[in-house]
Order: sequence, then structure tokens, then C-alpha cells
Amino acid sequence: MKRKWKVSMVMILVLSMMMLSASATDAGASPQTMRIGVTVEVDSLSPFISYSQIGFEVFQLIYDSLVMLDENLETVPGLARDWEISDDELEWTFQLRDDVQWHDGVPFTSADVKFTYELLLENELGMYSGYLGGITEILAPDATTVVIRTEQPKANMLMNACPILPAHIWSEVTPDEYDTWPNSSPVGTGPFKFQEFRPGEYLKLVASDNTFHGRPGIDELIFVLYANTDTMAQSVVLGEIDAATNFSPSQLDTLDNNATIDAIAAVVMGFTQLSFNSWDDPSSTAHPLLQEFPVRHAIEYSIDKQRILDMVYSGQGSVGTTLVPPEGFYHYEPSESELRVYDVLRANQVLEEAGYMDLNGDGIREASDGTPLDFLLTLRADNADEVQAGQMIAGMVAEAGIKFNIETVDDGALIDKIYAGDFDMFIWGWGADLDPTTILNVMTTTQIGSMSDSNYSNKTYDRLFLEQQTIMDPDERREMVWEMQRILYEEAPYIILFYDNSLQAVNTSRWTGWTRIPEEGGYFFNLTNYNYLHVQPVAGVVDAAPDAGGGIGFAGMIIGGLIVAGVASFLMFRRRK
Amino acid sequence: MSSIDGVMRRKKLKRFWNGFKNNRMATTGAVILVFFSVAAVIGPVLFPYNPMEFGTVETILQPPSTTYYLGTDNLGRDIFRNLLSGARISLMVGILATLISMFLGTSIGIMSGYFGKTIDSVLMRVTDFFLVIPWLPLVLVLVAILGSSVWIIILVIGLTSWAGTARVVRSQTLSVKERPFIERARAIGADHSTIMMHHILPNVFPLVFANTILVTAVAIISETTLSFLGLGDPTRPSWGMMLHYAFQSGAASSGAYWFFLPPGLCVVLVVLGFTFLGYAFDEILNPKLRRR
Repeated sequence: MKRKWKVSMVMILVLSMMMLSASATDAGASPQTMRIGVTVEVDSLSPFISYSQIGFEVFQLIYDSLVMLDENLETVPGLARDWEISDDELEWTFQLRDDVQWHDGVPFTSADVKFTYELLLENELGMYSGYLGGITEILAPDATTVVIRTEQPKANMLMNACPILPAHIWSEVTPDEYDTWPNSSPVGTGPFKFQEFRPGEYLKLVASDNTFHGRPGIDELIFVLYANTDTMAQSVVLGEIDAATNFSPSQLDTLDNNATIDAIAAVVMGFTQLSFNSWDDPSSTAHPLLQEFPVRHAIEYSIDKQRILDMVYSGQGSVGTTLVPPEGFYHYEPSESELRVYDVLRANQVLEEAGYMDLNGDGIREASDGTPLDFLLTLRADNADEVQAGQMIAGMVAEAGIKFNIETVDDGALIDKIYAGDFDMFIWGWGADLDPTTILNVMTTTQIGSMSDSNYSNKTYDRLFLEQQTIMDPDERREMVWEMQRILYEEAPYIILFYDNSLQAVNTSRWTGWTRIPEEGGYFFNLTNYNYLHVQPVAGVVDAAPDAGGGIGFAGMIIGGLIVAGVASFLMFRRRK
Repeated sequence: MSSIDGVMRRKKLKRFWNGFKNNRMATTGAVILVFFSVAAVIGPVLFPYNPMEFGTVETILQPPSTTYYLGTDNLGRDIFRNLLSGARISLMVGILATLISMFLGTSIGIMSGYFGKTIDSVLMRVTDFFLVIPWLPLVLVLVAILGSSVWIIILVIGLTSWAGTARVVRSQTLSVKERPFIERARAIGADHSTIMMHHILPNVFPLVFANTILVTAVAIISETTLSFLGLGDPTRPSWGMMLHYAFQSGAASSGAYWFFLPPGLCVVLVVLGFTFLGYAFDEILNPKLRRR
């Protein structure tokens, strides 16, 4: 027994040594590696499960969609090289490229498109299903043609970022597994092939030789996860990573003072909101007083958004109003009479008019039945900015006689609370698309239990939502989208606190050709994969950073060697005895 | 009888006091703790602090000055005042959590040692479980599930830190219960609870006391750890929360030493104070360790 243990122990050590040295040597050809520091990692590698921005970013590198956006955010051909629409605007015919292969060598055909779209339409899973709303039928008459029929005209057909998935892989997954199957090794047609995902560490992609985009200048692309933005900023300065996203505002100047680093505050399509539980059927566990519009309005009047923005976010971003961010064509700006700007007197006045008085003199107003305006604000513990914004808000609403208690929970725990409808309010944010459909969809009744985070439901809103997708004339459609935003602003299931800026930094001494998209926008998270395809390594600059992908490398070999030496001497000693 | 008892007790106390004042560790620890206790009790009265009151853009991260003795934090709040309120919270969490831990550890230890046999085996296996379980992951999960109110943090720390005390108390109980006076008590018909409460507890108490002080140090560190990791009570600005905010806002890289240094030093000093005192008591009260 004992002997066996010794032998196997030595074997394991020898084997692990071999593995270590193997992984250390295969990085030999010195590929051009770009490392991007991120603070959030993908929540899932399955496009049916992921709801995150980083997921969207990674999927548009691994997969392709029929059409995509270029650096001017104009629609350009993707997997479809050409398309036309019938005269009645109800039938779209896409001509697909015939030379595309999946990363595993299987040819891409129209059957893949039909499979993906039908699967999404039937199951309504994930962040991409919203793009397909209104589609009734998908036909694949031959290998390179896809015909999509809709009941009504579909305005956002060419704003469809939905990744096309390989039918030959996903058809082996049974339908009841779609929302759990991890897709742990995605196969796509995109410019980058998936190589490795280590949760809590990094996600590694490698350039694909076989892509219609042309081979990218980046050979290896690694998203390195940082738990702390300070460390991430330091890593950019030291050249350990080539780019960083979402560092904190206080690091902006430090980074920008560096000649080889371009640090920007990019305007992105996204916002941070205070979301109320609007669940209003009889079984609801939502706070009844939070269903009253005057209470929500008074809360908004009492929040000095600009001050929070200045203090917590170092002034990065702008004060928020309505659901569709102002960068797009569809943003509705409330009129002066509708607009609720910071005004504590007004907040108190609104509450007084609605009959909320402080009857017992404890500084908190009560409804006529004595229920106090006392709510629980849930914050994500791992997001220090949101926690501090929440604290400031709690201090501000107290001026209007409203009490916010604060609890901080883990991100996952908050999601559980939202699905269970067991919350009063919380703070987090959304990223939006150029086309308003996906963000408007969040507030529709059908999304309760999936994307909806406020349990908001309004029949007029739902009707307008379905209708706006069918209006082909942008101006006419905008009227409708404006009306929807007006309804939301009036009923205030969200208080949009800020339109976010995304802080990004790139190293210009090692990589060149960075483009901000749009002009005030970012290098990353800008709804396109343009920069990943177009930046080029600067000639003659050697990659100085340790190989994050090969991992253990030299240090690992030393440690492994020490362990072997230690165990060997231990065994020798025992034998001598 | 009672007068002899009283004389004995006075004598013991005197011996304890002599040991205490001649022990440098004990006096240093006591001075530190008295200082912080006074600060925690009087400080927030003299310098009240409202964590919900924020400064303006101009008062963010101000270095120490005559207006702000220790500067301001990233939301323009006075760090000196925050530090005083933090002392109250950190000490309160430490002491309350220790009370829970001491109560559990002592009762489980005495019962285990006194009854022996099956009860001993069961209780000691439970104790072993709490001893070997990785403390931090357990506490992180508990706080994540139960929420991060200060009372829950006290409870969680109390419920997870009693195992060491239970072990020590059990071994002392095993030796005490074999002494003749216990047999005598049993012979005159004292029941189990009387023996445990009136005869064993007073004899193990000095040990419990020394142990308790050490547990307090651990409890304060625990609270700081949890808060630093972002699981603290955001409405109660403990020292750990201050460190958390300092770390999150990048105070270290932007050179705002006044943000993270004071709470850090305070935690170190208070924990040092409790540790000194704990070891010193152990030395004074435990005859085997007493220096001759």
C-alpha cells in the first residue's frame, strides 16, 4: 500500500512537470497577443443564457450575424452578402456567402440560420430573442438563400445582432436543455476562435484563418479579469495588458498622463437606474406605497443626480431622464413641464398634495392609514460606486421625509430576489442598442420572469411596442417610441439616474489603428467588432508581458521542480531509516 | 465559611492585581484598550458623525487640516469623525460576537467535559466540525445569504468562533470534575446543573476569561475582513468599511494615505491591545505559565 502511494505520487509529479513544460513551450512562435483588462467576466458562453455586455462583446467575435455594423454604425454585410425586401415589405430575402466554414471545418449554410432563428423564436431565450420579434416564418430554399417572412413590416430587420449558431452542434442539445447547456466550447464562424475560459481568470480567443473578415492583426486575444481597478490601471501602465475597460474615474488622469496610453471617457448607449418593483397583481409582494406615482415622483425630485455623478463618478456621465439613451435617434427628452429636476421643496409638496404627512413626528411621512414611507434599497455589494450612490440617495430622500434602508447583497442574490419579486428597489444598469427595440422590450409584460427587472406592465405600452417594430418610416416610428418613453417617464418604474460613460484605456505604443465608435464613443463595447478586426501590432515592438494564456510558465516550472526535489529528498530520507 | 471565602477571594484578587501591574504586556494592552473605549464612548458625542451627510465636490479627499483633522474621504466626509463612530461599531461587534462565542463555547465545553460518554462524543464532533471548516468561505456564504446587517455579522462571527473555547474549557472541566469537592457536592445531593454552574464554572472561569479576550481580537479582525470584502453593513461605517471604500476608490494609488492609514492603524492597535491582554491574563491566571 505505502509503496504504491509513493510511486503514484512521484508519477503525478513527473507528469505535472511534463505538462507544465509542455504548456510553457507551445507559446514559442511569439504570436501577437492582445490582453484586455475587464472587471466583469462572461456570465455564460451560451448566447441563450448570457445577458451581459461582455457576453455580447465576446459573441460578436466568435460568431457572426447576417448583417453587422461598421465603424460608422451603418449596416454592412455579415454572413449575408446581399439582401432585398419585397414590395409589400413582408418578405426579406438574404443571399448568404457561400465560402464560410464553421471553426470545426463544417460548411456554413442557410440551414444554420433557419435553425438558430427558429430555436430562438420558439424558446424566447436570452438577450437576442428580442431582435427576432415579428418574424413568422424562415425558409431556406437553397444553401445560400434565406427568406424571412413577417406578419407586419419589421423596422429593425437590419439591426439584428443575433449570432448564427451551428445547427450541427446545437441540434444535439435537447430543447429542455437550451437554458442550461453551457456551450463550454463555442464553435462559430467569427474572426476569432474560442480557445479557453477560466472563470475568475481569463477568456482566451485566437484568430481564425478561415473567416470572411480577413485575418485580424491580433493573433491571440485575452480578456483578463481584474477584481480591482487599481491593479488593472497599474497593469496598463506597466504594459502587462494592452487595454483596460471600466476602470474608476480617479484613475483616468493617472493613465492619461502616460504618453503611450490613450485613456478616454467614452459615451456609451447605457444607463444606471433605480428600479422599483412594479408588480401590481393581488399576489404581489411589492410595497404598495411604491406603486403610487407621486411617491416615485417625489423620490426623483429629491435626488440630486448631478451631485452624485460629480462625487461618486467624478463627473463621468450625464444626468438621466428617459429609457432610450440620448446618443440615438429615438431618445425622448421630457418637456420642461414634464421634467423632474432636483428640487426638495417640490418633492415635499408632491407628497403633501398626495396626502403623505408626518403624523407621529419621527421625520418620516406616513400614508393616511399610517404606513410609513419606509423602503428597502438593495445594492450590489461588489459595485462600490452603486453602493455609494445608494447611500447618497438614502441621505437625499430623507430630506423629503422618505426613509430608505440599505442592504447590500451579492449580484446573484439580487437576481434571485428580482425573479422572486421580493424587493422594493435596487440600483443597476442596462446597455442599449442603436435600435430601441431591445431596451424597450425590457419593460414589456411578456418579459416578466426573463428580462424585466421591475415587473412593470402597461397594456398601452405593450401595444405600442409591438406596433413600433412594424413602422418602416423612422420619423413615424420615433413618434411611437417617444410616446412609450413618455408613459414610462410618467409612471416611473425606473428612475434613470445617469447615462453612463465607459472609461477605457488603450496602449498606443504596441497597437495602432484604434478607432472610437462613434466619434465620442469607445474602443470597446461599442456594438461593433471593428477594433478587434482592424488594430495592427506596431512593427518591431516585442510583447513584453508574461504569457497569461500559457499560464504557469517559468515560475510554475521552478515551483514544480522544488516540489519534486522536496518529495524526492523526503523519500530518500525515509528509505535510509 | 463566607468570611474565609471572602478572605480567599481578596487574596486571589490581590495576587492577580500584582501579577497584572508587573506584567508589561498587560499594562500596555490595558492602556490601548482604555484609550479606544473612551474614544468610542465619548468620541461620537463630542464629534457626531452622520454617514448620510456628504460633502461637496470641493471637499472630496482633502488632506488633513485644521477643519478636517484627518482629512476627508472620497465622498467628502470627515475621516476623524468617521473613525470615532467606527471605533464604537468595531468594538461593539467584537464584544457582542465574543459574548455569543463565549456563552456557546463555555456551555458546550462544560457539558462535554462533565457528562462525558455519548454527549461528549457528539458535542466534540460538532466542535471538530467547526474547527476544521474553512472559516472565511463559510462566513462569506452565510453573510451573502443572510444579508449584511451588523446584527447578522455579530451572530455569524459568534456562531463560528466558539470551537476553540469549547476545547479549552472541556479539558479544564475534565480535570476539575475529578477533584474531591465535586464528589463531595454530589454526595450531599447537588444536581448536575448546580455542580456545573456553582462548582465547575467558577473554576474554569479564569481560563474562559483569558480566552474570551483573545476571541475578541479575532472577532474584530473578522468584522474588518468581512467589511473590507464588501460584506459589511453599509449604513454603519466601521473601520473595515472605511478600508473597503478606500480600497475601492483607489486611495492607495492616488496617494490619499489619510483615508486608509487611520482605520488600518486603529484595527492593528485594538487587536494588539486585546491580544496583549489575553496572553497576559493567560500567563497570570494559568499557574503553569506563571514566571517565577
